[in-house]
Amino acid sequence: MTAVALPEHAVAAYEEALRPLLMPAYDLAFAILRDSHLAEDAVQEAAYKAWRSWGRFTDDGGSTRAWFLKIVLNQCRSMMRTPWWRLGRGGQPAAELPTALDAVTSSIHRLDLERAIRRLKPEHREVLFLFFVLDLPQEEIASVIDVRVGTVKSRLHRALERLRSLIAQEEPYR
Amino acid sequence: MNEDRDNAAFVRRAFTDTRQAPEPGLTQRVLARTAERRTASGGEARGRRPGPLLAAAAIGLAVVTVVVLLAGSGRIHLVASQPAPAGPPVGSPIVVGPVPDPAIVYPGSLAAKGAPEAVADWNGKLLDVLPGTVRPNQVSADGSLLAQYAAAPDQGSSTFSIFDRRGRLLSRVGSLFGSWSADGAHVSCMLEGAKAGASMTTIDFSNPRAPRQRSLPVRKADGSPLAGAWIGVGCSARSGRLVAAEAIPGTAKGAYTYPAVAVIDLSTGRVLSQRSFAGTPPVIGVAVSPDARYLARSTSPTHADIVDLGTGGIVGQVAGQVCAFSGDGSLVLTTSSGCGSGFLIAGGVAPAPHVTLVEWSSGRQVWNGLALPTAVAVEPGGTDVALIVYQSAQTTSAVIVRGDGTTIPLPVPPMR
Repeated sequence: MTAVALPEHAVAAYEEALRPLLMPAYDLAFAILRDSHLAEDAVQEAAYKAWRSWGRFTDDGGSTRAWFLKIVLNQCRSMMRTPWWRLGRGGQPAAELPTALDAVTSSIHRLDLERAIRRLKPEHREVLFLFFVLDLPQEEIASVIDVRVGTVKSRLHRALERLRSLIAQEEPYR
Repeated sequence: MNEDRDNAAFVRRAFTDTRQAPEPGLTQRVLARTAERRTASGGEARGRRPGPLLAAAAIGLAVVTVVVLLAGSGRIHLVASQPAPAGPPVGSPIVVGPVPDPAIVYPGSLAAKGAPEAVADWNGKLLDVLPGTVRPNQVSADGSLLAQYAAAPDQGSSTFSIFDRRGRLLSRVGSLFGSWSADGAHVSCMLEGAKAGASMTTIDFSNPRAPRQRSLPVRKADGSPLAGAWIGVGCSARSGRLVAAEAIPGTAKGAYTYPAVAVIDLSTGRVLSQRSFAGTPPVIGVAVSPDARYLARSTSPTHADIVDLGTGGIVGQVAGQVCAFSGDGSLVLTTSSGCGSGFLIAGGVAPAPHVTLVEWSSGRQVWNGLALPTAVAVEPGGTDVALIVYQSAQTTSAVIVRGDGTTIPLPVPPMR
């Protein structure tokens, strides 16, 4: 591979392909990072990376959605690997998350859900969101998260059980 | 079947009920920024080579041969390749969740010398009055941690005492306390410029009784140090960015010009982007939005450009010098009297600068009046700002100016 200037129609094709994917990409990034600014940063960086490899992708003729969501997911994972992340949100138990402001502005139920989602492992958030919210087929999810279809199925099962159990733990506090 | 449907509804609800919408215009914003980065990089993408491998290799070899021959003949000079243009500054964040219960810490009385500082919520309700011994020099953006400078008796070193908003001492840190992250995160950032290269120190107050300090050298993309008289002008721990400006002393005492800015990754000390203001009128003042996304670059007391630090493009222009941004970055506080004007003096304030709160994207004026041009506090993530306003030439009071232009007076606490 080498760096080549792509023609104008490639730019138009790139933008046309990405336009409908940016909002789902933001939602996926938010589902994982739980912060709207960071989610937008992740999508912004992923969009540029997508452009950088656009020529390579179109030649391969794959699914644009799976390809782009994979880039977004990798960007989120990369952000979560930094020492700052581990020091901050990543290592912070959900029970200790500040909630005073949310208590004023949001319902208690929403807080329960938020705490439960934050306590889910990132790979569980990913698979639940891709399957139940974005409605991706399991084969496509396997391609996005780079595992076998069987792994997607088992991970979905475990993630769902875990989410139910976490929400049940939050309920006594209502 | 029903179970599948229940599962789907259950998970969808969990995610959609907790979703935070992006700021309006996400798609346009992302595509526009990508287009600008594409232009900056010469429109290149990594595609397959246009021709056969052998032909490309032959062309490459021919080019190298010609360049080497020309260089040998002295007709062209080989120079080290420039680093690729930096992209939008995506720093490595420290995230501490929502801002808890933000408050305003403000001088209880400007007229009475020694009056205690007061704490109020953003509805103007008095929450507390600090002990008279607590005179914070810096208050975290959410108003919950206060840093008070104390020079050591021998002047050899200094410390900052960290208090909570009730005035209880939590910890002490050394002189490398810089300024609080502007987005409400409990992190302080400091940049020390030096000829040999700048260094950066962050102190994480997630546990305010046991702060954790970390220092790093600041390096450019090519690994070289960021050398020169750089100072920190903005810091957002949530987005992982520190904004630095090169500060050159001007002709007037205490005046500086700022010929360049750099965005630095808080986690690694790497310069994410660096922009020079060469070719523009000298920049006499800079202010950074709390998320370190926008820079207000004042080129005269009557004009400022709002620059997107991601693309370097000018996204707005306002009349006056910009002294501060609102918490959400949408409003700016401007004055034509200079941001340092109207400072507090014993028994009053002088002189009285005219200050305006403006929505920079539209130029809409939200509020104007006589006030101190540096805000006492900005509501984290919101549009409200707390200001000291002039009732008359000698009488001042603290008020909250709402994003809709209405004001709420902050209560004067009883003297202790």
